[in-house]
Amino acid sequence: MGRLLRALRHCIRETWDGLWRNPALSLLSAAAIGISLYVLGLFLLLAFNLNRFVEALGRETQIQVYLREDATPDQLRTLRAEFASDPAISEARYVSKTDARQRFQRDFPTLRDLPGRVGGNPFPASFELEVLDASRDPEGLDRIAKSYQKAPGVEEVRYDRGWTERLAGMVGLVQKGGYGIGALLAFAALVTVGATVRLTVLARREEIEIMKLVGATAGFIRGPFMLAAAAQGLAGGALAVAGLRVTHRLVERTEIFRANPFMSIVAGRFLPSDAALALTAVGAALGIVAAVLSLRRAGSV
Amino acid sequence: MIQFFHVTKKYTQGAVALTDVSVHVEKGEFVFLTGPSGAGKTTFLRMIFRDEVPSSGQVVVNNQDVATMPARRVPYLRRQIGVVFQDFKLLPRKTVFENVSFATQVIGLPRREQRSRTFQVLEMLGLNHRLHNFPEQVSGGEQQRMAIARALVNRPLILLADEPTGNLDPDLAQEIMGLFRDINSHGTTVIIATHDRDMIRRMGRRVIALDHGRISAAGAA
Ligand SMILES: Nc1ncnc2c1ncn2[C@@H]1O[C@H](COP(=O)(O)OP(=O)(O)O)[C@@H](O)[C@H]1O
Ligand SMILES: [Mg+2]
Repeated sequence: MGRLLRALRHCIRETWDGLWRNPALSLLSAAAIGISLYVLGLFLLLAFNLNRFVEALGRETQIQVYLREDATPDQLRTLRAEFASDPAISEARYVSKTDARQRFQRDFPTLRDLPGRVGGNPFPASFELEVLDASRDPEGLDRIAKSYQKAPGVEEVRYDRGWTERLAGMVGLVQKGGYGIGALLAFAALVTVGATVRLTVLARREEIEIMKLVGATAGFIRGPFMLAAAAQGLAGGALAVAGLRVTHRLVERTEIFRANPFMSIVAGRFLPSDAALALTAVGAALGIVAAVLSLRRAGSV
Repeated sequence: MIQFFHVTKKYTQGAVALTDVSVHVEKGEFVFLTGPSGAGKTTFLRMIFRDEVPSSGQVVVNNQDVATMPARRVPYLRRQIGVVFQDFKLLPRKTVFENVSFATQVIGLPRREQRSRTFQVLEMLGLNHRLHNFPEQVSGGEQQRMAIARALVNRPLILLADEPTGNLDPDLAQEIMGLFRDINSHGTTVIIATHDRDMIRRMGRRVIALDHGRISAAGAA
């Protein structure tokens, strides 16, 4: 068996012993990391669901190109050709003045006589443009709107960008808030785990001193502490994911959730598995970082 | 093998432990380091395995300047040096066997080798009936021998012993000295700090005498 393999085996055995030498401390470390990741996860869950909502909403986004009263058939033909060749537009539907009036009368039955009373047909003809997914971001929509604004025969180009942007902004805020609070809690977890590492090191400083005097390398001494912290972090991360899953299940079962469509917007789905895995990995990473910082500060190890 | 060039050591608290010490110990030598309490013997030994670095001057061990040696090399320096500490530095919660095999584990010897070497030195030091006792269950002399066993178990090039016979009765002290001589005869460089003048006289080896941190007499006693 190679030297490295032996060192590894020793490291794992020492880690295992270390974890059980003081189970309460190990648990504290795991819990500190678990709680911070749980809270971060809640925000991610919210942001993830809101994001899906915004995307679904965006899929319905259309651009309305209102036509001038005096637009000529030639101009219409040119526009139609331009829409057809625009790679960002998947479909362009023509809505005539008559169609527009009928649609209004269908959507607002109580006002169906209004158009007649104001005289003639006040509704302009328009094109409704379906935008491809790839161009449905605010910049993409803006670009399309601008490019047809000045085209001959066009009165005005409109789209409901305000809504989408506000929502996207909100999701961004939730995400940022989540990262902010997550970072804060992660820092608290780092401090906690760091302190437990320092305690364990202190409890064994005699042994560590002798190890150094008889020629143990820093890696040999630090390895088990780092591996233990990684294991605690991994456990914390897994606990956080499990906690999130349970929370999500519980929310799904509540009356409010079933009665309120808004709830399915904010909590309709659980995190995708790669995000859950990443959260667990972050737990392990937090543990290692805490141990490295703490061991470096302890200096003499 | 070990060279001190104008070594001065001031501790941060202001105590001057060594002043302008220059001395060479050749490979395979057997040397006594003597002087009254507080003369700087322990400090001298600690410089060799880089537990302390000189305030000025140079300490060279096995052709390496220990003060400028990168930290990651220090463990490998220490593996060449067995140290018997004045206060033994035994681990109270490990048995006699574990306290000694510990040192072989740390340097990554194979398991079987760890065991066989540990049994060997414990046998040599007459501790094989004490394997599973804890330090507090054995006598002061046996603790001393545990410390010696641990220093020898990795077969060092250099053996440093800080007052190794202080806790032993004269017969046992004599026996331990004989052991050191055997080890030395197999090529290990040995430096023993002691203020036991009778012992030094009996052994008739080179003596480095320290007084208030200065060399007061060097050469054969
Ligand atoms: N770690 C230390 N910090 C400060 N002073 C020390 C330390 N170790 C030793 N000294 C001082 O250095 C001098 C030499 O001590 P030491 O090397 O232990 O001598 P010896 O081993 O010959 O008794 C003494 O005055 C002692 O008080
Ligand atoms: Mg001393």
